[in-house]
Amino acid sequence: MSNKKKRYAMLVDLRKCIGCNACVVACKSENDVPLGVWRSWVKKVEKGQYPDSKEFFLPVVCNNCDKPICVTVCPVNAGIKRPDGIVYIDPHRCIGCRYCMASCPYGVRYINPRKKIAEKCYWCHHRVDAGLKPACVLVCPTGAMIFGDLNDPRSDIAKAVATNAVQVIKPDMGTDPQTFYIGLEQAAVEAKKIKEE
Amino acid sequence: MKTGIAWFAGTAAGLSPIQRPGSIKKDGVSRTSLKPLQVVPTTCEQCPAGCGINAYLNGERLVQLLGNPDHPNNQGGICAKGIAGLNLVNDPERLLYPLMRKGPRGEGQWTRITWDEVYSTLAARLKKMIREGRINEFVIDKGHDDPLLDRFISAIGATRTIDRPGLKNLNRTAALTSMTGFPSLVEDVGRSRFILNFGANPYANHDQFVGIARRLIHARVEKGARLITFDVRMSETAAKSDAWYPIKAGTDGIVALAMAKVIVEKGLVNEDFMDRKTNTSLTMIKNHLSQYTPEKAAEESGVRAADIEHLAVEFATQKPSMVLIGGGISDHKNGTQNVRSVALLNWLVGNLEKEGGLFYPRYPASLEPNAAVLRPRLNSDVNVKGIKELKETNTRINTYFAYLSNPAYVEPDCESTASLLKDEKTVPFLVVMDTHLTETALLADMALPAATYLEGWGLSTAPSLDKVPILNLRQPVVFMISTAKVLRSPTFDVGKLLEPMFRPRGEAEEVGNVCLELARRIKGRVARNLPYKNTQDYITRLVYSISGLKTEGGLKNLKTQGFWTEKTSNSGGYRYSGDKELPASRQKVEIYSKALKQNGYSPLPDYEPLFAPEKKKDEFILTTFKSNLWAKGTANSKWVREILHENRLWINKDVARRLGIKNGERVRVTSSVGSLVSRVLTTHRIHPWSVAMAEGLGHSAVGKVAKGKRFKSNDQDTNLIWWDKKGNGVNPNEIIVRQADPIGGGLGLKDTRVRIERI
Repeated sequence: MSNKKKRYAMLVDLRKCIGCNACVVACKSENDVPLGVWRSWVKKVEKGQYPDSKEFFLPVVCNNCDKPICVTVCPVNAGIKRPDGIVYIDPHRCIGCRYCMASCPYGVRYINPRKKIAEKCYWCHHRVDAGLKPACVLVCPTGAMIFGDLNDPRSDIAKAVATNAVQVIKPDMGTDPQTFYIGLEQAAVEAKKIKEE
Repeated sequence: MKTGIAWFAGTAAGLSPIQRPGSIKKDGVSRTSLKPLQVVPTTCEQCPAGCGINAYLNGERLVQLLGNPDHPNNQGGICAKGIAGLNLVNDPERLLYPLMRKGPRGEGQWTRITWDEVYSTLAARLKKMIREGRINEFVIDKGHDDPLLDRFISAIGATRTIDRPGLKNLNRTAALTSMTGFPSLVEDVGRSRFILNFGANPYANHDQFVGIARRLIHARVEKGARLITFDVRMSETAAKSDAWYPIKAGTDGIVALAMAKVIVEKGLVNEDFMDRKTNTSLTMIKNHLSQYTPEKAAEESGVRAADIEHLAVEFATQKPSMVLIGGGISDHKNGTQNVRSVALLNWLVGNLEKEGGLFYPRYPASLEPNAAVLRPRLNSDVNVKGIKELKETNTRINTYFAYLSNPAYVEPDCESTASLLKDEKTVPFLVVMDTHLTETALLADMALPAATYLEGWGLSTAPSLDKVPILNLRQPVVFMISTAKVLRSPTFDVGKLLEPMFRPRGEAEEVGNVCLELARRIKGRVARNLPYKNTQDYITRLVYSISGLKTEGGLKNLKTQGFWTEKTSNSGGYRYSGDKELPASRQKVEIYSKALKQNGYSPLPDYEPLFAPEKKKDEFILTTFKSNLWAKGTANSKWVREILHENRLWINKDVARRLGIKNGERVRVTSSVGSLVSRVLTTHRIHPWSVAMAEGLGHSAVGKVAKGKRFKSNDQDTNLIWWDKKGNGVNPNEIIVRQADPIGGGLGLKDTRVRIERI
């Protein structure tokens, strides 16, 4: 498969997510994310009337879209989509204008309060390039997150995407998100999150 | 001279003088330099599960903690608390030097003292107590198990120990011991097909958190197992169950008994198991259960009779099946009988020592001689629950030593505990050893800095979940002493160059080393019983006393692996164990308990109503729960506090509407021992009778992160704390009534009746 182009993707199996926040804290630790901003988070949503109520957990990371609006709009070409699909921001070029933040339909970008530049999840590309899994995927206690090369039919993610019904968040935005979900409920995407417990 | 040659040889060969710890597996990479990181495997001790973790070192600096993919229990998974262990060691607010109080108690004025002064003060006090035969005036409040501390306690002959880890599940322990002879059983959830969960929350908090959650999820998603949860609130587990049955608090016992009745009457009992493996005849149980009809249970608990019947039939016919037992049913005044009633379901269908059922815990065979050392249990007849009980029995206290224990915060009705600890007549000398200046440490006469679990040595066994028994090594991973420092050290020794050297931060010290030094100063019998140089020496000797481990590379191998599984063991874990492997002493499950009969309690699983007859309409039952982010070690962790900094009072939305309370409003919650003000979370995820609140918030000490206050420090993040306006929650322990189950002795932490009023 080496001559074939790589296409990295993430899959979150929501049937397995227990809302434990391990991915959130692992990301903070791996990427030195300051307090107050997040590259990944778990949205908790309540639905239904007692006693038939339900609670959903929805871990969110950057979709690293195939057609990233954030890259298109960047006035200084700081947003870059790599050939393997990872979208990242060149910290040396970014001027912190927030144009990309306004354009992102998923709200995954933030301004780093220390560096004053835009940052987001880039699937831990420093780990991926070294042949490792992203931090959130590695720590997930239940193995709900899968990361890999979609173009490699032997990879776990290619098998999982081929054998399950997968969804993405806001497909109608035309961004072609590459973070897939199994068991994503429209209700969980639209609803407001539960206030602090 | 010899030293010089060795040093020369080392450099000539082009080797780094400091041998890097652990194996340099390529599974960590620096985000900034893109160089591989050093990996040191060790064991997490944020909670009792004992997950294998990998510590990643960039040069001398610990940069990350992630799960150890080779560990058989957690298989690389790790929870948020484990990763946040990094905040615990690097915390700018840690207690790093021994402090002596000046001024009155609780004023927070300290003078820094040396460890030598600490040792001489404590040794003099202990010596005097031992000489005068008053050693029972030395009270040890143990918040964390440490083998050397336990050995020290038995060496000096102290009898009053408050064993917090042991006290946590007293009712469940008592119930299971009365039936099986073991305080806890291993739950083989990964191979089960039908799991009834009574009050447990394995997706957020369990003795084997990550290991169990991982297997349960696997069974449910990959194998289609069914999970049914009974709980007063929708826990994470209930949210991810096939069905959640909200139930009136403390009535799980009668539901289980009604299910048992259905199973017995429909003839679905595993009669062979009942005959051979239990001490009770089926007719006896049938007669006993005749009073517990599903209709009666439905009336008492609020679960419909039809649901009880169909769940009972499914439980007995779907095989393998099992019942999970959690704190939600044991932390009641009728907790022991609740657990016994629920456990009865397991015995009726024969879920013992069977794949997908419950198992007796096993330890490596070659560890058996050391089992007592590794899992020490103190004499359980000395069952001190707290200072309040000591005061009630008019026990004289000379010195109160608390290790990683914070009774002024965690005990129910904690304010009265704090006032007892503050009273110099009750507690003349209070020593607190902790990582932070906790609520209790603020009252202390002497506050000692404790090393964290990442800065010391330990050896423990965790119940193996599906492979052979495991032995976990905990080794220091911070803070490495550099080559330059070693060379400059006045006590330069070449041996130190060959092995990485770690020292706890500041002047923090492992409790084991403190005990050993005290023993050396007390001299005599105590010193003879603790003949170790330090904790590392103790662990080394322990490792080399285990024959199987010795042949497989001993400590060196253990240090690169982080754990050891006994491959040569004949028992081969519990998966295929047959009858003859059952512990000989306990061949039969005692459904009929003679011990309970002798003490005047119902010998068969029974139900005692708690609230139903006299609960008033405007009263609620306060349930506390542990969030998946809560551990003692995460109290001052910035990453955890950022997510969990508020604990609103859960209240049923329909009830709130009736009372005119809106989401987010502030209410006063009053119990018979006090009141507190909290904001409410109106939700459809809780039973109308109950209100619920998360534990572990509302600290008045520990640190500014725990209190949610912004401050400047070396860590730039502390200036970015953004939730200061929201406050830091409330501590529900302030209003929890202290009441115990007379049978098991465990506290009914979830029995407090409260009233709610808008303010």
